[in-house]
Parts: sequence; structure tokens; C-alpha cells
Amino acid sequence: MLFRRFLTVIDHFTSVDVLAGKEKALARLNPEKFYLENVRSILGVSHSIAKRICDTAVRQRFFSRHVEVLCPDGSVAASAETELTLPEVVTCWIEENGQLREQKFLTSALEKSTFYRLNEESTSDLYRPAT
Amino acid sequence: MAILDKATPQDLKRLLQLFPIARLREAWPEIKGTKEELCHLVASSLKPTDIAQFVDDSLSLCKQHVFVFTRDDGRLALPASITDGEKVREVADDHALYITRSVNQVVLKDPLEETTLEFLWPVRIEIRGPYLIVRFVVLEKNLGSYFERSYYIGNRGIDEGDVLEPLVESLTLVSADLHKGVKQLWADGFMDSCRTRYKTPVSLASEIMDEERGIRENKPELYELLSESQLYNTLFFILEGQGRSVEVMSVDPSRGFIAFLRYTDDLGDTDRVIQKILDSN
Repeated sequence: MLFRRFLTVIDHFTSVDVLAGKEKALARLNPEKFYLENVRSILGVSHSIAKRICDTAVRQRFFSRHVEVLCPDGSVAASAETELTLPEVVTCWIEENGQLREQKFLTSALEKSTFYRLNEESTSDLYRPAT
Repeated sequence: MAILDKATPQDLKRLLQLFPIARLREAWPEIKGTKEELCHLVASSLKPTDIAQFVDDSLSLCKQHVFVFTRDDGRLALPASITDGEKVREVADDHALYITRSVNQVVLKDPLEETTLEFLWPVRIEIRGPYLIVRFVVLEKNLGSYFERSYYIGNRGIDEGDVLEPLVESLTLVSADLHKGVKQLWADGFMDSCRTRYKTPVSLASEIMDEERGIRENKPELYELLSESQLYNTLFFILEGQGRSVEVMSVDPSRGFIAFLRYTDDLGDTDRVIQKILDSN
């Protein structure tokens, strides 16, 4: 169901043929959490076009934008709707000489990454059952 | 017990500081003040035998690196001493506390000055059934709190390998494989993992879950694969109520290695987790 909605939202912002043959790839996406690069690679478009599609979908509330804070090894420590609502401090696992230890970091000092989520309520109007 | 007899009050204070403040206050409720003040007073007034007993009784609360061994012929015995250290307490013939000395060479800056920072390092060795278990208290890597100037460390002194190597050789020990016990506890819902490294037929793969989510709960297909794979250093969260105050540990099953990465609140909780792994192994 959510996959179909996702497909419909993408279809809404792209030319008719752009999704042809992409169902399998789209089915692998998790509508609860996907990244710009997921959309870009499935549609085979440039980064800027994929960003425009996602930004428009967010503006029209089909997608919601979220942010996650990354530990030094790239693992996700925490996520929230905006940077302001991320915790001020996060705990990361640091591996040194094969041993793990916890270390606290200021969120402001760590990299952030944006991801998207399909907005179930807003997309229900767009939903077209499979024919 | 020469190592404790000859220790300075400063050495003993640092030894006591390895333990959680709650445990120190529980043992000496009549002494008030900060952790440093409490440790200083206890170190300058207690007999070495009493300190050895406190360390032995309280070791299970500390962050620990635990190495589990077996011996092919099953004939296990406690060693008479360890590298740069000695036995300071023996309880029956299946458990003893040893203390060794870790000497860190430190160079202080502005102005340049060489010095050393020494720690008495507790190590407990236990025999439990077919297993010989070596438990190290994890020493604080960040030595910044001991100096008021910036510094760098020249030489960290002896490490776990320096203690283990002669033991393995003299007692003809082999690392216990903990895969069976660890996988059983994982399957039983005692714990879940959010970070693992594992072997596939053609690669060394790893998985780090977002926001410490559990693999078994959130990626059942990967869990199935892992339950049949050789695991390397894997981080487990003990599920609520299962391990009492033990919240997290890492296990490298092929090396017989378990690390307790946080202090625990209650005496004996880490002992019980080790026993649970061994009982299922």
C-alpha cells in the first residue's frame, strides 16, 4: 500500500514514463525512511532534479523531511524532524584497537544527514489502487 | 602481598578510584566528601588485606575485559603470579585476585617535563567448570584528569596481551569459543545486537543499526544469516529486566572475549551474565 502511494507521489512530480520499469527498485525503498540519493538513482535523474522533486513533495506535504545526526564512524545516533529538536548531546560508540567505548559528543559538532518519509495522510488522496 | 604493602597512599587511592562512587559510599558510609577525598582517607587508613578484599568483592561492578579459556585436557589451575604482579587474595582454589602495575610514561608540556603515572591494576582469575576466566578492570584511557597541563603519553606500560601471553603459554590454554552460548541468549530474547561484524563466504561484513535498534527485532532476515555466521566483535544490549543492571556488552565469540562497557549497579550482575553465556555454551 505505502509503496503504491510512494510511486503515485513520485509520478505526480515527474513525466509519465519516468517510472516505467522501476517498480522493482521502488519496492525496495522503505517509505518510512529514504534518502535523496534513493530517489535520484531510481529515477535516473540528476541530484538537483531529485532535490527539486523532494522539496516540492515536502512543500505539498506528501513527504516530510527529517534530519539525523551521524557519529564519527557514520552511524546514526539520533533523528528528529529538525536540527533544533535533535538532542544537544549524543553518545557514540568509538572503536579503538578492536575495543568499543562510549563517547559523548555535542550534536552541533557532528555531521547531519537529511532523509524523507512518506506522509501517509497527505498521500491518501493521491492513492490509486493497482490496476 | 608485597605489591600492596609497598604501594604508596597515592597508588592505593588511584586503585580505589577505579570503583563506582556508590560502591565506595556503601562500603564506608561514615566517610563523607568527594570521591577523591573518600579514596584518599580509605587508602591512608586501611590494611592491604582489607583493600584486597574490597577490590575482589567489588570488581564485578567495573568496566571489564573478560577472556575465557579452556584447556584440552581440562586440567586447570590458578597461576602463582602474573606479569609484573602477584596474587593478593585467593578464595578456595577456584578464584584469586592478582594486582599488577601499569606504568605510563607521560610527557607534560609547557614546560616540557617527563613523568610517570602508575596504576595498580586488578585482575581476577577464576575457574568455572571447564573454563578459566581472566577478568581485567578497564583502566581509564583519558589521563587528563591527573594533570593540570597538556600532555602526551610516551608508553602505556603493560597491556592485557602482556598478562595473557605468558598465562596461555604456561597453562597451555586455548580461547573458548562462545558462539553457541551467545547465539542461544540472543535467540532466547535475553539480548539483541545493534552492531556486528561477521564473516560471509567472500567478505568480512558489518552492520550498524540506526539509533541502536536491535537486529533481531528490526532485520529478521539478517538475524537469520547471523545466527549461522561466524561473528566478530558484536555489541549487545541486554533487554530490560534480563541482565539486572548489566545494560550492554560486546562479545568477540571466537576469541572468548566479553567486554562489560559500563559500570553496573549491583554486585554479581556481570558474574551472572558470564555464567549465563557459559551455561548455554
